[in-house]
Amino acid sequence: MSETRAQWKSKFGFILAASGSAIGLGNIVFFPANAYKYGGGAFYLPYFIALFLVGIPVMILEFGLGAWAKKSFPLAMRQAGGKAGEFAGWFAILNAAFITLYYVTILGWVVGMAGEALANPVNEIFMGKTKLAWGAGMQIPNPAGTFFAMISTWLPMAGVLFVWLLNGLLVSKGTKTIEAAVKIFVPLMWLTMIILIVRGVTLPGGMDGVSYLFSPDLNVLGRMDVWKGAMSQMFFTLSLGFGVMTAYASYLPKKSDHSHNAFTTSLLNCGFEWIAGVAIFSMLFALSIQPKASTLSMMFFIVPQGIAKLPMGAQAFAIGFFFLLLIAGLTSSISLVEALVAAMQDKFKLSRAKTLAFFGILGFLGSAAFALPKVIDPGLGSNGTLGLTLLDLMDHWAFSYGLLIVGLVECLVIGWGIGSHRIRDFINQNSKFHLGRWFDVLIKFLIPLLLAVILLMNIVQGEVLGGLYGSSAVTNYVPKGGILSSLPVIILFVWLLGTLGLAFLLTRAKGVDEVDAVCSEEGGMQ
Amino acid sequence: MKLVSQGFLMVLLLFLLGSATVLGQISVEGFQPQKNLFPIVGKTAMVVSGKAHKGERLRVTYRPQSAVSHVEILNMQKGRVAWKPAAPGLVKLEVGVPIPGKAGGDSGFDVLDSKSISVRSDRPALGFGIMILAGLILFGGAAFSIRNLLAEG
Repeated sequence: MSETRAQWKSKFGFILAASGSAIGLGNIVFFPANAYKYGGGAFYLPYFIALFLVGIPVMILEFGLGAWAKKSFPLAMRQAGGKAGEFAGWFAILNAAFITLYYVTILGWVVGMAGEALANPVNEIFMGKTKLAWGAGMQIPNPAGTFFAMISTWLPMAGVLFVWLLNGLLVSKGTKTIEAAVKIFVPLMWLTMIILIVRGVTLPGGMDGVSYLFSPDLNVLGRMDVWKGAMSQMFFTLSLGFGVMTAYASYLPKKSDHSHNAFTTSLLNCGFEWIAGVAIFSMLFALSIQPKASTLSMMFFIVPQGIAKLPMGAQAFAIGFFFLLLIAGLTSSISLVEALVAAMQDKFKLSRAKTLAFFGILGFLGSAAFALPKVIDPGLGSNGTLGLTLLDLMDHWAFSYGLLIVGLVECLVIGWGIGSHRIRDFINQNSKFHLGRWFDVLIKFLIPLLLAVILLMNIVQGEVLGGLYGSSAVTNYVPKGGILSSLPVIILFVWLLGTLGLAFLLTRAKGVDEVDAVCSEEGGMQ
Repeated sequence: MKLVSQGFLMVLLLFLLGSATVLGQISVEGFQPQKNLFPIVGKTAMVVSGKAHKGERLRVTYRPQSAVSHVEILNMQKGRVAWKPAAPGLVKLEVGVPIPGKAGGDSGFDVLDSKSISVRSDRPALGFGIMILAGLILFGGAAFSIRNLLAEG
C-alpha cells in the first residue's frame, strides 16, 4: 500500500508552521517571567548557550529524522532504533497528547476571559473585587476573582468545545489547512505583539522597564538552578520532545536545508520571546507590577492587571491580548494534534477524517476533565476547582518530566542506535551549513548528560526532598482518606499508564506495513 | 511552548494578602509613575508610612519573587526613613514591626502596609546594550538563515 505523502506548498509555509508550533503561550508570558526570575540580562548568557548547545542541535536532529524517514515520530524512531525506538516515539506522542488535553482547556479559559473582556468594562473585571458564589461569598481581588468565578462555572466547556472544533477544522486537510491557517495566524501574532510593544514602551517609564529586564545581575551565573532553568526553558520553548517537529519535517522534500530550517525556526521563536519580554516588561515596570514565574498567573492575573491600569485603550488591549494568546495557542495545539494524527495514520493507514473525529471526541472529553468546575478548595488555599487541580498535577509530570525524558531517549536512540553521523550525513547532503563531528558529540554525550542531570535534580529536589508533587497542597484542603486526597498518586499512575502502557500496546500492534510485509513473506515462501 | 501553574498558589495568596495591604498608605518621594518620575538608584528618597507605629521598620525587597531577590531593612522614625535604592527594577516596600523571637532575635516581620514601586537605573545603557546585542543575534541570525533558505531556489 503506497501513497504519496503530503508536502508543504512552500518553504515559507513550513517555517511559519514550525515557528507557529514553537511559539505558544509560554513565549508570550513565561519567558519574560523566567528572565526576571533568573537575573535579567545575565539570564541571556545561559539562555544563548542552551539555545546553541541544546535547542538548535535537537531541532536539527528532529527535522533531520523526519525528513530522512519520511514518517511521523514513532515510525521514524523505529527506523532509527527498532522497537525500542518506536516505543519511545509513542511515549512522546502520548505524553504530548496529555499536554494537548490541558493546553486546550487553558485555551478554553482564554476564550472565556476574552468573552468577559468583550462583555464587560475591564475596570470592573480586572480591577475591584468579585464576590464568589462559593466560599461563603468570599470576595477576592480581580482579575483573580473574575478568573475563579469563570472557571467554577460550566461556561468554559463551550470554550473548550470551540477550540477543539477549531483544531479539527485546521487539521482536517493536513498540511493544506495548517499552512493556510499559519499564513494568517503567525503574521497576526507578530503584528499584535508589535502593537503591545509600542504601547508598553510609550508608557512613562516603559523604556526603563526594558533596560531593567536586560540589566544583568552577574551573581546568578554561579547558580545551578539558573543554568537548569535556561536548559529546561530552551527545551520547552522550542516544542522539542513532542514529536511535532519530526512530523512537520516529514512533509518536507528530502532535499531541504534542515540546518537552516532549524536555525530559522529556533531563532524566530526566541526572537518572539525577546519582543514579548520587551512588551510585557515595559508595561509591568511602568505600572510597578511584579511578574511571576508561572504561565497561568502571568496570563490571567498579572498581565490583565497591568492592562486594566493602562491610561488609554485598556478594553481594546485586553481583547487584543487574549486574541494573541488564542492564536498563539492554536498554532501550537494544531501541531500537537497533527503529530498524533500523523502517527496513527502512518502506522494503521486510517483515514484522516475518522482519526480526527475519534481523537477530537476523546480529546474534548479529556480537556473537559481539566475544565471541571467543581470547587474542591473553597478557601482557595490552592487551585480552587477540581479541573485546575488535575491540570496542575498532570502538567507537573507531562511537562516537567515527559519532555525531558523524550529528549534524552531520542538522543540516545538516534545517537547510539542508527548513529547520529548518519543523520548528519543526510542533512549535510543538502545543507549549506555543514554539521561537523561536534554534532555527534552533542547528540551522543553532552545533551543526554545535561538532560539526565536536570531530570535527576528535578526528581531529587521535587519528589524526594519535597514529597510527591501536590501531596501536601492537596491534603491541606481535602479530607484525608477520600479519593480526592489520593489525586497526586492517581494522576501519576494515569500519566504512567497512559504513556508507557499505551505506548507498549501501540508498539506491539502490527501496523499495516508490517502486516503487508508478513503477507508478502508468506506469499514468497509458498 | 511552556506552561506551568507552579506558583499559582503563591500568586493567589499574594492577591489575597494584597487586598489587605496594598491600600497604598506608603508614599515615596519622587515616585509619580504617571509623570514619569521614579526613584533612581543611589539617590536618596524619603519613604513615609501612613501611620507611625512604635518600632516600625521598612523592609525593602529588590526583585521580589526572583532567584536573585535581596532584602534591606531600615529603621523608621516617626513614620519616615531616608532610603537610597541599591538596585534598579521592581521593589517591594513593606512597613511593619519585627516579631520578637525567643532567643532575643526577630522571628518574623508583621507587615502593616506594603507597596510595589519601580526604581530607575542610574546606568540604563548597559541594559539597552544587552537588549540590542540579544536582538541582533536573534533577528540577525534569523534573517541570515532565511536568506540562505530562500537562496536555495
